[in-house]
Order: sequence, then structure tokens, then C-alpha cells
Amino acid sequence: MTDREAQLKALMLRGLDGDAAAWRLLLSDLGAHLRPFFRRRLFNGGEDAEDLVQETLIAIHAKRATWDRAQPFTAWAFAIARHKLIDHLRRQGRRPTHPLDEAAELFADHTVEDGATRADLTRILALLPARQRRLIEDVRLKGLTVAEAAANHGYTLTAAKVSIHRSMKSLNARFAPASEGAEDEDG
Amino acid sequence: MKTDDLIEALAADLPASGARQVERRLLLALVAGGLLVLLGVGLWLGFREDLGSAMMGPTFWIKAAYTGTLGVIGFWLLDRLGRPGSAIRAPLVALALILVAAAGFTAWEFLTMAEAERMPAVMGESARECAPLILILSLIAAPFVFGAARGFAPMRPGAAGAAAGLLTAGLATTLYGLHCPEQTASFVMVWYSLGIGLAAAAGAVIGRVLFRW
Repeated sequence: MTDREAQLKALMLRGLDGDAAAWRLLLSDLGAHLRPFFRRRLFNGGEDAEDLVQETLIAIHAKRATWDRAQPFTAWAFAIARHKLIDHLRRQGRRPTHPLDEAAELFADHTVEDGATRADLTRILALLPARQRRLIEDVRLKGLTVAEAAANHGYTLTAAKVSIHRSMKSLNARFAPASEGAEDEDG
Repeated sequence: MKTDDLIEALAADLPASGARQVERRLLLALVAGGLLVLLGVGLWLGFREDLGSAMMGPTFWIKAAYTGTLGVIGFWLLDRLGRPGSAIRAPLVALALILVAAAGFTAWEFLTMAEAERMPAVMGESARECAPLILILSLIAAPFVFGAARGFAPMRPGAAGAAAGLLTAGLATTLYGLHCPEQTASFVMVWYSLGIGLAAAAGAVIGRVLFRW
């Protein structure tokens, strides 16, 4: 995280001085992080994610002078991404369902686990790929049967069961240190 | 358009951007807007006749300090609101402190006054025209301030508009003090504050439209 901050900040500073190569590198890097970030948070499976990535990159480009050099770069970039996401959801008449307050969440390497200290349910589920998450939500939160949920999302019954099992397993693995005694959540 | 192509296009258009570029533009706009307001006060309203002697006493400067500080806090707030990820707590606390201090000073003046003097102290000679004149003078400076402030990237366009309105009105009202001969804290607290508050509210409405990005 700190490394990434330093690395991105260095690129940003060079970009502000007009270094096109550094700017290209920075925008590509940000784009690669923004894509899964938006995809996980959009309800339509991320069809709009690419549009949002582009909008955010344009905003970062157009508003680059509003970054205060004394301020963490990632916090600034994350605030812009969040603004674009909220704007998008608002236009669709929806409220964001995931708490969006951690710059670390966007820029952290997603395979690195930071413990389950902030283990509220939506945040945990947000870690899953969109398709798996929706299946879990239907079964575990909305109380649908596995068969119904499978039909909703175009899974076969077996595939749905496997997916749910994998999701629970991977979540348990991620949050194991903080959820002792909850390992047998899924059979 | 593919994202990679977009990045190429953006990188191709990358003029160097100095530190604090938006603020420097805003300061230039304040100078320009301030000069125009000064011109308006001088040519249209006229400077107060006792300006020379008033500038020797403390009251003139206390008034200017109150309105000027509100303008500075407006600048500070706008600068924070306009930068994604910045905290606005400090300027808000400063705003609350200056308002509480001014209200306390006014209450002290008001309560230590003989009862018969109180109403005249609040109403002065120009209670009716004070707030409208402040709004008109603010309107003269507003295009400069709001134009420059569009360079910011506020998450809350309405709040940023209010801050820009506070900044504009703080500037305009301080210059209005060159015309307005009112001397009591009660008058300033009620009518100056009303004019500045209305300007900030108008700024919030304008900001909602103008500060979208």
C-alpha cells in the first residue's frame, strides 16, 4: 500500500510536469485497479464499468491540478472514483449498498488479506466476483432456494451448489483468524 | 472509444500544471473582481464622507476584520471542498468560532446599551438597503470568483457554491464598508450578516449547477 502510494505519487508528480509517458503509465495502472472496483459494485454485472473507468480517468486528467501535493495521492484518486460511482448510481436512482470509505480497499492488492476487522457483511460479499456474490445474496440473504437462485442466474443446480460452496470456502479462508467457530458455515 | 486509446489521447494533451494552480487563478480573479467592486462602490455608492477619520478609529477596522475574515474562511472552505479527499473540519470550526465571537461581542454591546438606544443601534440609517446592496456588489464579483472556482473538483457542488458565495460576499462587503458609515456591532451583525448569508445561499444554488463535473 505504501509502496503503491509512493509509486503512483511519483508518476503523478511527473505527469503534472508534463511527462506523457509517466501519465500514460499512471492512467493505465489506475484503470486496471478501477475496473474490478467498479465491476464489483455495479448491479448489472459491470456493463457500465468500462464507461465509469473512462469517466474517472478523464476526471483525474482534467482535475489533476486539484491534487494537493501534501495529500496522499491514492486518497485523492479514490475520492474521485467514489464520486463518479455515486454519481452514476444516483443517475440510476439507486443508492450505493457498499460502504465506500477506504482508499486502501481500492488500491490494496486484492489477494492480500488485511484481516476481518471491518468484517461487515456487504464488505465481505463485495470481495466476491459479481456472479458468485449475487448467488450468495439470493440464497443466504434473500432466502431463495438454491434451485431458484440457480435459475435466476443461469447456473445449473450443481454448478450453483459448487459456486456457493467455493464462495463460502474462500470467504472463510479470508476471514478465518477473526471467525473461529464459524468454519462450518457451509456444508 | 477504447480505454487505451483514451489514455493515449489524454497523455497527448498534457500541459504542465504548477503547484496550487487553481488557487493562484482564484486569487487573480479576486483581485479583478475586487477592483470592479471597488469601482462600483466609488462611482455608484460613493465613499463615506468621514472615510479618512473613520480609518483612524477601531470600528472601521473591526467591521473590515469581521467581513474580511468571513471571506478568508470562504476561500479556505472552497479550497478544501474543491479538492477530493480533503477534510473541511478546520475551516468549519473557524467559521463557527468567528460567528460565536461576533455574536458574543454584539450581545455585549447590545446589553450594555441603554434600552432606548438599542433599536436605533440595530436599525441604523440604512437597514433596508444594506443587504440588497451587499448582494448587488457580490453579484459584480461573482462571475470572476465562480469562474475561477470551476477549476476545482467539489464532491458537494452545493456546499462549494455556498463557500464561493461566502468568499465573494466577504470581499464585496469589506469594500462596501468604504461606503457604509454604520458604526454599531448590532447593525453589522444583523444586516451585514444577512447580506452575506443570502449571498452564500445564492452561491449554493449557483454551485449546484455550475460546479458539476
